[in-house]
Amino acid sequence: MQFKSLKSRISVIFLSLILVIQVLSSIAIKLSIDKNARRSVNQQLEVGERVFLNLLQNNGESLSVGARILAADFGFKAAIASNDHETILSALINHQSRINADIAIFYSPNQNSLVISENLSESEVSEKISEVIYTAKSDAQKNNFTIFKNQPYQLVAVPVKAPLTIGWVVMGFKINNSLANTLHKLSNLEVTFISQAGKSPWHSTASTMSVSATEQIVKYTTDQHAFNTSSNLELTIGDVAFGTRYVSIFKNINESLYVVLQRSIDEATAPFQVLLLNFLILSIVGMLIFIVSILYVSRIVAQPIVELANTARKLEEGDYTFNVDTSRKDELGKLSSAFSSMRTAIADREKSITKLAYWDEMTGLPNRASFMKELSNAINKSDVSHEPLSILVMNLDRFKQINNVLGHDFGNQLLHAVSIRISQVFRKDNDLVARVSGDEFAVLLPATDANIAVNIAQKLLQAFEKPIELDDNFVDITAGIGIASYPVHSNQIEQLLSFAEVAMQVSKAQKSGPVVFQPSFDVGSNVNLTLVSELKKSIHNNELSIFVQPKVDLKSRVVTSVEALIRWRHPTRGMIFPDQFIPFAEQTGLIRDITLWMIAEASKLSASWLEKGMSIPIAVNISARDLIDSDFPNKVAEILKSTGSNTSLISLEVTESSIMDDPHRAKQTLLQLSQMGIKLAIDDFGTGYSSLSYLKELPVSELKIDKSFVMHVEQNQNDRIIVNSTIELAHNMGLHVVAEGVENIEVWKSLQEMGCDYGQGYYMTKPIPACDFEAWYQQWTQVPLIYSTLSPNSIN
Amino acid sequence: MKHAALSLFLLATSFQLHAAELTVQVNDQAGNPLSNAVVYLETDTKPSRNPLVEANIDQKNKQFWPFVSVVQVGTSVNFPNKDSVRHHVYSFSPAKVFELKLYSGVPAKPVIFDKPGTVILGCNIHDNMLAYIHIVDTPYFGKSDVNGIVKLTDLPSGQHTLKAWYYATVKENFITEQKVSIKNNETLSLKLETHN
Repeated sequence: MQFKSLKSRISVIFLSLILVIQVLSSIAIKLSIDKNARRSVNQQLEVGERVFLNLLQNNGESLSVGARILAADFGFKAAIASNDHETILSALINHQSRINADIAIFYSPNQNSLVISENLSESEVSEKISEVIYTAKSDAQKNNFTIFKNQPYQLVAVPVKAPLTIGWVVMGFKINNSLANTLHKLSNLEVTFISQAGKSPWHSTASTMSVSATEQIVKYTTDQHAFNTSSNLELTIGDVAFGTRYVSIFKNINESLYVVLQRSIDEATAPFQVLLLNFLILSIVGMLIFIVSILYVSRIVAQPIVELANTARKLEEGDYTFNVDTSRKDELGKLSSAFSSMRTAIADREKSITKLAYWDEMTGLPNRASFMKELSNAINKSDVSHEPLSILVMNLDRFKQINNVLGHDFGNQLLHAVSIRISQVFRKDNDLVARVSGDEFAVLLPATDANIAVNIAQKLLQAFEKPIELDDNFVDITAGIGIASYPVHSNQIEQLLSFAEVAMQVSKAQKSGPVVFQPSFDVGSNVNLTLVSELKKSIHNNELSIFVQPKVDLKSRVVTSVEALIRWRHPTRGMIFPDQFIPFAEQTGLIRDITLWMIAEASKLSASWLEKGMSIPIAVNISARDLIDSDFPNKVAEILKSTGSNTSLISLEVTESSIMDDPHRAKQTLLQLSQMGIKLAIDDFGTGYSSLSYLKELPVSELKIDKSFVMHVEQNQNDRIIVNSTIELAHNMGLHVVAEGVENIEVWKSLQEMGCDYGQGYYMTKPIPACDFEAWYQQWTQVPLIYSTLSPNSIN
Repeated sequence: MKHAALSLFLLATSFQLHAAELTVQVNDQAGNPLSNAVVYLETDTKPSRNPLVEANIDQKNKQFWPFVSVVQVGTSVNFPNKDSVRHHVYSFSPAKVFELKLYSGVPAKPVIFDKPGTVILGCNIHDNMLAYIHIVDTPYFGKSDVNGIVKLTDLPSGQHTLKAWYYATVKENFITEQKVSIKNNETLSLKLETHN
């Protein structure tokens, strides 16, 4: 059998057991009652027989006494002597009535005299009376029976002696209902007398039973050939079973008289049935009590186990908050204690595992995985509340540089300090700050749309206006911040984060504060695919143009070179900045065409300037794609040849990151270009991952320090250290240094003091269309040394 | 109760005619001597001897004594009571019905037995008391002694009838008789079939 619970198992086993015991004992009792009842009936029948015989004996004695008194009466003897019938008869009747006998007879064989008190024929009586007297002569004590006219009598014969026997007095009782009732009263048995005389059928003389029952007894008796009077039999009369005993009263050749003693077995079992009923009631009550007890006991046993099972289920679900009741002292209590300590241990272990999995140890902030999880939860909540949410991704500028120059420990400390500062900006309850990668932090802003997120991001940037002080160093932190919002930008967490990262990249590139994601940032979007196809045509459609930004010798203010920057005048979208299409161009390979176009345009431009007396080389940015193209130097050579330009009028700038894509091939390409006589410069130095020692191997002549280091150089000590050391190292390696982001004279002066060779920036001019350069150049050279008074060096 | 057949055998007859004597030996069927048997001789002629004037039947220790008496017709019998208790002697026998109501000592009048036959005596107080009186109409009678011997004397000679009565013959009250010729002193043997 399958049990769903221990409780029901215990209950069912014990209940079955008790049920079996009860049923067995009921059966045993029932059997025992039947057996006892039958035995008791048999005993009663045997006793009844003895009572009956005793009754006959008593009757016989009383008859005997009566008869003897009469026989001894002298007057009676005198009457006999005188053969006075009338007197004899009256004496017989008189003595018969004294003892309530039913019959009295005087018989004298000598005198041939027969006197009978009852109305019976003399012939029948005389025939049987001698037999009675004969029996009495042989044994005076023996009960004497006969049947007169179908009526059985118990008789006693007593001799009349004068002094010799002169006759016999016979007295008798009828075997009738009176006797049956007397016996019934004495023995509580049913009594039926049945007799058979001659060839007449069996006949019931008297009975305490009903007429119909008596008839059945007679019928049964008639059907039998022989009677076993030594044992009892069971006779069913009507629907009632009777223990039955045949007792032979007398029997001779043609006469029989039996008494049938009977006892209803049902009646005999009746008191036992009451007993059995009581037993059954007691059993049922006992069962009920037992059921309640066993349920209670099994509950006591099973309930704590059920509770422990629930506890285990909670553990499985990861709920460790509950309490286990350990107050019990028994085995279950020990189990509970074990559970309790197991719960604590699992909770502790899971806590530490969770911490490892979801926590960034260095900053104590949640990690990327944790952030993604929370983002997912927040999106679910957002779906319910129909509120937007936004995420910020913040990436520190120049962190690699700082790490390289100031060491990893310092970098780690810086990250820790940055994390603290970020955390201070946000609402602790709602906003989640996480460190998602090396120098990248992300903030989850629930219930915040993109506009509010921009404000928050600006607040965040403001928090970093104050430099971070670490080990007596002040570090200026600038960062790009990208913002993406749910659900407007994406409804997938991974994509949302990646969009925010794209926006952050844009923000870094533009260096213009927080940037909200725009679909145009996403190369894979439909809009951008259109843009890519349009870009292909843009070269032929002459939609691209060149802007330039001059590089100036910081000592002499002489414009030594210009950097060519690309612009796309889209026929419908207007001016598009390279941030928005160069990434696609790089991804699609279109950049190579653009680069070649730029080189061609630049060489034409510089050649035209030369004709006007302006010997100003033009620097063109090349991409990683170009560097891995081994045919690139040849293509450059062809362009120069076709435009009639020469290698001195063109220089090329590569970013650290583009070199690092495939350093070996990049080096090969750069060597070839260098051998062609083309000057090479490293652009955006400090933002990539290259090291100065690696750059040493490259055939570059110039290093351009990224504007993020330069812009605050006169205020920020760390920037100053970085810039200063970079300049020194570059000089040691024989490189010229160009500082980007020169926005004011103070920066210029600082850079000049640090020995920086060239500057480039808004202070001189923002990038201007190539056609406007000549005008600017005239203006710049017209106002020479405008700030020379401010610079001691510039005087010379 | 066993019934025994009764039979009488006359084994020998020898007597003298005058003043003859007859000795009779009475045996039962088994040949044992039988006492208390009454033997008498009836003659054709009237008896010459008168009966005894009186006879006594005592009551002693609640018994009649003698148990069996034989008297000639006309004999008066006294019933002296020698016990301290009273007796009520009666007879319902046809030969003489009488009763002597509760008395002690000797009743005033004797009872005269005037008819031959057998009288059975009883006492109404004591059922066990029983006695027989056999009344004969002849002066020649006797009762056998313990050896079963009866001696009849002064017998006239001639052809006579010898009779025997016993109280407990198989056939009740049966009288055995046989013809005898008395000449000299004779000895006779009689066999009687009796109860027990």
